[in-house]
Amino acid sequence: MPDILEIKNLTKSFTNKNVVSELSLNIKKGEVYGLIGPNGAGKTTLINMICGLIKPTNGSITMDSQNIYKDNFKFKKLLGVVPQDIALYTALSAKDNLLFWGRMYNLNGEKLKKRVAECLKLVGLDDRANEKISTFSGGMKRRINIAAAILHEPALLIMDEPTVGIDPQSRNHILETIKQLNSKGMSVIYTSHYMEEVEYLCDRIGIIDHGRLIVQGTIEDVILQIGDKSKIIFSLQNNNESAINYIKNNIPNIQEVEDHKLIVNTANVHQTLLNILEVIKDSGESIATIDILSPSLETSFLQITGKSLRD
Amino acid sequence: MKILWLAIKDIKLTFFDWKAVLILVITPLLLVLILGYALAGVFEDKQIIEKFTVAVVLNHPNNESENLIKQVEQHANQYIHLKEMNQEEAKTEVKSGEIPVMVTVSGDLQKADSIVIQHNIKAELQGKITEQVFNQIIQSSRLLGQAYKATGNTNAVPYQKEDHMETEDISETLFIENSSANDGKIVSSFQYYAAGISVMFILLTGMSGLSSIIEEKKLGTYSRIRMTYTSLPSFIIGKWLSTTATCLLQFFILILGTSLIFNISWGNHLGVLFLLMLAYVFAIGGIVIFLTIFIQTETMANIIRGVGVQIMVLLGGSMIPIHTFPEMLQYAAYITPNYWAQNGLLNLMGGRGFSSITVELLVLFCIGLLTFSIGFIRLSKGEEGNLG
Ligand SMILES: Nc1ncnc2c1ncn2[C@@H]1O[C@H](COP(=O)(O)OP(=O)(O)OP(=O)(O)O)[C@@H](O)[C@H]1O
Ligand SMILES: [Mg+2]
Repeated sequence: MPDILEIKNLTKSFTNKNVVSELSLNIKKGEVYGLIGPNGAGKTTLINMICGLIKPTNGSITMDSQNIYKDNFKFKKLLGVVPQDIALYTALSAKDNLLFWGRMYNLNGEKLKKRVAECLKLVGLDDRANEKISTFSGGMKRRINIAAAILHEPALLIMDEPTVGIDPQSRNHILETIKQLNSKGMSVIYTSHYMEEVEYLCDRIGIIDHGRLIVQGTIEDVILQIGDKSKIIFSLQNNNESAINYIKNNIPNIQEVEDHKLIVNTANVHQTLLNILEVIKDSGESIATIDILSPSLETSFLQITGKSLRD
Repeated sequence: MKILWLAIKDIKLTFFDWKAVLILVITPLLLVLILGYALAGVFEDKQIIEKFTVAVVLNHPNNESENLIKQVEQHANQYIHLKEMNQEEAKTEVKSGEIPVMVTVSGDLQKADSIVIQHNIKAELQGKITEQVFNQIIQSSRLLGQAYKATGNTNAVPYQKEDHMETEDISETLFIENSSANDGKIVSSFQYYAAGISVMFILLTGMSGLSSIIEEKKLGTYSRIRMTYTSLPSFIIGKWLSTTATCLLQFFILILGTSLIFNISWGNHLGVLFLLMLAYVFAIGGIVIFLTIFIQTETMANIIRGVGVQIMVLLGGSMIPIHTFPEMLQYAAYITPNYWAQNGLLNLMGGRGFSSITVELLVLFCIGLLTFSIGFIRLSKGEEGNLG
């Protein structure tokens, strides 16, 4: 599969702080690419550079092997963007909003009307077309937010957390919509905090943290790259500083992540577990919680970023 | 075309907000009503002072007195019409109210009470106007120079006002007139406030345009528009267009409302009036685009709408006649567009035409062009790094 989008050594700094740094990734034609990373990782900043809202400090973005900053308008045609925040005129009806956004994409006349009707149907809100956005639920607003991005039938759809804060019914509808669009050939970049969505939708994923792409590949690839190991995650009762140090020094492959959680990667769960219990006993601490996880995207993410996906 | 759709969207958003429309249309009409009623009792017929007839009685006419009448006719024909008649005739006409004012001029202007002005009890204002006209003409050295060359007496103004009938005093502030001597423009307080309040509310409406730009940035619709094929210049011109169009629409409604409801005259030259309206909203549109460079937050926009507009309104004399201000402040008025707009409107209301507002048109046009150009050039570059 050829690439539809190629990003090379992309860097963006705000007041000398690199928000995106030396980031390279590529999106293949027809795939759904999941971009995941904790809050403030730089996902939205990356997307804003792709859609031309802000200019990179360094690096290049090419679409169909051409630099997008050379001929901005040509690439805007290929690009649909669902912004993280709902960007609609809430005082206008759903239909009026879509008509307006369609016009901004140079659609008009019968074609515009047809596309508006199709997209309303696609997101399942054709029966509420003439109602004001302000009367819609969060999920319905998100659905119109998506409809407004696909009116012009983009080749690449970028979705920045399109399912934040909505009811399960709307979420399912949105996920199905994306599957449907993708099956008709639309490439998708999908940003989310929800691992199960990414696992369900995406052909490949990239984990981004502190503006850097840490791993990239199919979900199996990523899990493999991080190490096909189980994880023992535990926390201590008192979080005693010296006890923690003692434990860290005496257990191999141990890692401390947020909230004083400790993670040990191991291929031999049984042996490691016995070892852990012994060391903790020696340290004078006692266990508060303990979890044993077989390898998954969620655990990979936790290990690689030191943060869980959701707070 | 896209610019038009952008503007139409803004206008739709404005008019879907019925509260805003109410504020922008009904409030100014109410204000005119309140101010108008507060002052209405003073004007007998609650009407604008129109050109009126003054009966002239020449006792023992000679060169001097005839010259005086000629001068008055020449310089004040915009608002008074002189009609010569004999003493008895004039008295009857004035008493009956057919003619509001009579002036008796005796042949020898050097004598005291050589000019007597009498008016009908209901024509206090006309009496006052006539008095000022004669006063001004006599004081102008043209006549005095001739009349008093021989005697060297240049002090005393040889006229005396005698109220024929009992009158009430007219408060000076209610009688609004241009202060420059040769400018005989006289408009009613109704007209004055209709003009002042209109320009003030159009200023306010314009500033809503500023708020709407900030709101779009906050909402993310601005960013979203920039992701489409729509260029930043189109967005800016669209905002400019919707701002000027909304202001113009409001201007129409206010002019229509005040003329229909309060019977206020906006002059006899509708074409010229329209030109002035265009120039004013052009200036406002430019200022809004210009301000967008600096005003980035809602708080700032609210301050501009609240305090900024109030200052402009006060400076420009939209609420309090400007000639009551100290000289320094009168110059400051020149920087406010509302001053020029109101001045032009008052000129037109005074019955004058295009030539009386050329300066105003030019100034407003220049303000609009300059501010729009600077704003447009600056904003078209976009804001690097700002996600809006
Ligand atoms: N205009 C800006 N000026 C300065 N810093 C910025 C600007 N925009 C973003 N940042 C910073 O860049 C970092 C990345 O922000 P970004 O919005 O890209 O994160 P994100 O991955 O989308 O996070 P989230 O999952 O919360 O949406 C944050 O620390 C943010 O504060
Ligand atoms: Mg984000």
